Amino acid sequence: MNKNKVRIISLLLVIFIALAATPQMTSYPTGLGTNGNNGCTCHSGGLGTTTVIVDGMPDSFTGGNTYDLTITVSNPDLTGAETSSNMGGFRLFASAGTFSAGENFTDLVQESEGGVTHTELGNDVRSWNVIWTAPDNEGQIVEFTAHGNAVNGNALTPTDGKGNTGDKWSTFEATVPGAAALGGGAVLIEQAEPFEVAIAAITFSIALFSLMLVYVFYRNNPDGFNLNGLTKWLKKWMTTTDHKEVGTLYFVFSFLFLMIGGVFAILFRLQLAVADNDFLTQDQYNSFFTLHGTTMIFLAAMPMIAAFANWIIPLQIGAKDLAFPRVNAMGFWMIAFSSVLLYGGVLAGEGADITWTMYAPFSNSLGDKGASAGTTLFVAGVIMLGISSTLSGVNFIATVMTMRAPGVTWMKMPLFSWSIFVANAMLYLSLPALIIGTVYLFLDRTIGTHFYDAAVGGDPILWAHLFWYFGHPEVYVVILPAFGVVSEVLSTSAKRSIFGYKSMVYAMAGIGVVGFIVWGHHMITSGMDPTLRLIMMLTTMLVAIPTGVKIFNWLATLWGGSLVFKTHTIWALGFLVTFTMGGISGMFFPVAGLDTHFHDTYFVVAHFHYVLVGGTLFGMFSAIYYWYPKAVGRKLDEKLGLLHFLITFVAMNGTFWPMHQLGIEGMPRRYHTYSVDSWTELNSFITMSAIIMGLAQLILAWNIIRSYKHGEKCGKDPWGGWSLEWTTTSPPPTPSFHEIPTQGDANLHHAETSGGGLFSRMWKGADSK
Amino acid sequence: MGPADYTIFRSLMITWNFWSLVVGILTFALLFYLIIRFKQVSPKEGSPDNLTPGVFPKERDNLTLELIWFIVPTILVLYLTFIAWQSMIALWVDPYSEEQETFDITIEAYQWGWNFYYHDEILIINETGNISTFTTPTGTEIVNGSMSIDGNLYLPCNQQIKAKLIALDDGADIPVLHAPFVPEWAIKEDIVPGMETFMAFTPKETGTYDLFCAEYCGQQHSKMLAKVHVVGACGE
Repeated sequence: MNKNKVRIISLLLVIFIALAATPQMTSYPTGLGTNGNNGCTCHSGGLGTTTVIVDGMPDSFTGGNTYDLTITVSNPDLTGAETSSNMGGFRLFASAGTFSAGENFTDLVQESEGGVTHTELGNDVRSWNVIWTAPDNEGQIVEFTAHGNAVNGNALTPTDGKGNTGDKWSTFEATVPGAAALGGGAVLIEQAEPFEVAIAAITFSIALFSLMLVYVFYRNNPDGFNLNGLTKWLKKWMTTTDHKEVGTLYFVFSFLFLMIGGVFAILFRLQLAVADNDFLTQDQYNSFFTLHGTTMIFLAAMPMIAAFANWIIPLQIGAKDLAFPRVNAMGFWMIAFSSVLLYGGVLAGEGADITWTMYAPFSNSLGDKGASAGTTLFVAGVIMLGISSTLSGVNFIATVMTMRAPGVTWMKMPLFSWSIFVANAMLYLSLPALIIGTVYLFLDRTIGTHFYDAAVGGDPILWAHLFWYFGHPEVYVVILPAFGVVSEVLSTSAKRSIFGYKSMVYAMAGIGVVGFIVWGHHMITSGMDPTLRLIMMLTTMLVAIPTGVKIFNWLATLWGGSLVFKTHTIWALGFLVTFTMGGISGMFFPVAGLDTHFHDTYFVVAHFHYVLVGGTLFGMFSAIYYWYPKAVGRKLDEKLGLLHFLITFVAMNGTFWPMHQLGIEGMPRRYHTYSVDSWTELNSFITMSAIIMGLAQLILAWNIIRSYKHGEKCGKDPWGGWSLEWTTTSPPPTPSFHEIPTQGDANLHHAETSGGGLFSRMWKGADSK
Repeated sequence: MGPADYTIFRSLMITWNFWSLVVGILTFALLFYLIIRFKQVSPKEGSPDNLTPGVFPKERDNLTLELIWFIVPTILVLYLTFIAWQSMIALWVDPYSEEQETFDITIEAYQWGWNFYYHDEILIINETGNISTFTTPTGTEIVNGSMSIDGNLYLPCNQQIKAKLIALDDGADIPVLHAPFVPEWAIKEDIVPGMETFMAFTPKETGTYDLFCAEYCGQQHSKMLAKVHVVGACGE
């Protein structure tokens, strides 16, 4: 056995031991990790083979009352010997209320996890008595499930003369509404979907994913196709540290999750399409919008940005690779595995339902009314995401600081590189708050600390402060790279340099600084100190100034230029429109008199979707069309691109613009249903637009796949850009530059030279040696 | 005086909508003008700046212009902040000041519903000038310390209401965040376990209003609804 195999086996062992040692997650009755049907399938038979009856259930229950229930199992085929033991058994569950043993049969019945079951003595009878105490809340419907089995005791069966074949089980289900729920209105709260569905979905996804991988591998070299090469090819991708390949991995990953997040959005939009809808259960709705938010921010937007940063930064600043290529690969695989954790809650019965803001104390509450069972895994996933972002953050900061080619000084650096640098510096400084917060949360949920529990001296507001100290810089982290892309695209498309390069850099740095002191505007109604509210209001308004400077600089770039309408140009112009609208609606929130209304309504949803979809996503789409030729050597199809833009732009406005009106009318966000009929019209329209917008993204997916083989071939500089990535071949070689290039400067007659030493490299760029 | 008749919200909304329109229309008009005016006429036309790959292009800036779009937004932002600050003073009254006669209630939130407690009586002056206490449709007389049991909140008209907001802590579950929200009055304040928060407002018109929970609180968040009935005479 060679060293490598030993290493792999010991690693697998460590993972196995770690898995075995972790605290087991709690789970809903139908989830993985409980008994499911509680061992009844160990008996033979199934529905219908044995009759299970529960007598004594009321038509409707009164809160706090007790009811005598009798469970009886019978099976004419299994009469059993008169005096035998081992006659049968049962388990009974109710979705609410508590059980106690009935008076006459105390010896026969005992409590079990979440319900009642028979004792050992109770095995000898076929009828049991229990008392059910109804819950206080009469507005709900209680669901009963009884599993029972009939055994033929020690009697010998006629056929084979053995006793153990006569054992058949079956299930009884019934619902009892509360007195207040009789008139209708209450909806049965369904438990999570059976875990079989989850297993089937996972198996299906794995199969589909493997097929996709094999297909991609096949398309790579259709003539020399040989499955033996597959593992080698897979290993190459799984162990790559090349910044371009890791960038591609990031891109594929983020696009996949963009689609998954979109499917969640469409599902809960269907739920919201009409008033009083019950397309999704409350649990499903809550976990869907939680997963939608987290997926879109952490698994779609951030990796998409990381993809372009990985691909372009070293090329743009003239470096052979990133500063820490292995750390970079590690960052990607961390995010890949954290996605498994985030979605892992599904295995416990249902996904996390704590919203992407994960507000404590709800997120650390356990029990029936608390956060759902998948939350612990979800929080673990968020911690892992934080680690991943820290790794990539330190990597990009180090790369930009020390690996710039000669001539790429701080004030001669392309704006996209600047935006990635500022964004990662912000990310790096704000992440500790999130990680500390989620670790506290994790400890609260697992080992029983009380960081956020007010009853024992914890502080619920602490979470909001920690989260938003990270959360608000985070939204600039995802918008700044889009600023960078738009700066590059507009300058190239207008065929002239960006207007006011220096003020663009200062504006970005300004946003980076002010962005750290505005988090309180998320908490204006949270009982925060009024002085702090005033400060946060002022600082929040101030963010508008550098943002405005950037928008006017972009407009001035167009002035006197010669604007070419390529697809990436159109996306950048679309960005200007939608981002400006999102920026303007952002000015409504820091105002106390408006925020007391708008906070947690659809106006907020409208605003941040205008900024995140109309800003970040449009910027990233522009980047896809702009840099795809550099990565592949072929252009994306311009006609499909235009179609993609037109449909997405119209549908995007159709989806999010009406949400402003809903917010003004006071529709709260995160509502499973609404009873106000006048909201139906706008909501149906939003749902339709959302579906169209989702479908339009398939055009982009098709365009990317098709152009890989059939796109128009292009040379080094298809769009006429100036920065260093356009001086290398498309696709670039590995390592990305055989010889470190030198960036010229049209403002000088001679190129600047730089000396050795870390300090001078930091300020002037790396030496060519 | 808090906002319970939408006036502060409406006047702020008008100001903000106005400036949004001004900024939006200016920006978009300029954008579309530039797109149309400076679009490439013929593909062969040379580029105005001669961007060369690998060469940092000639910098273009204009300090006067940049200062204009730095200073003008700054003035606008400071002006808007000043207005917003005024609204803030009007919004949050000191809950402990005894200067004003207030009608005291306590709003207690639990998963998933509301309890309303009264610390004063609702006195209603009827047409003949007699004073009587208010009785809810379910027959509960609202007197000092009583609790409304039909799940809805009854408030007297044209009196300043001081609502203390607390979360029910019965020891069974961890109390979580909630936020009573009446859209028609544009009022909302979080209920934070372990803290007392306050909401002050003055209903100006009788009627029935919706009360929502605005802070996500778990499974049945969207079922945490109640009605607010404003009763009695609104005249001076």
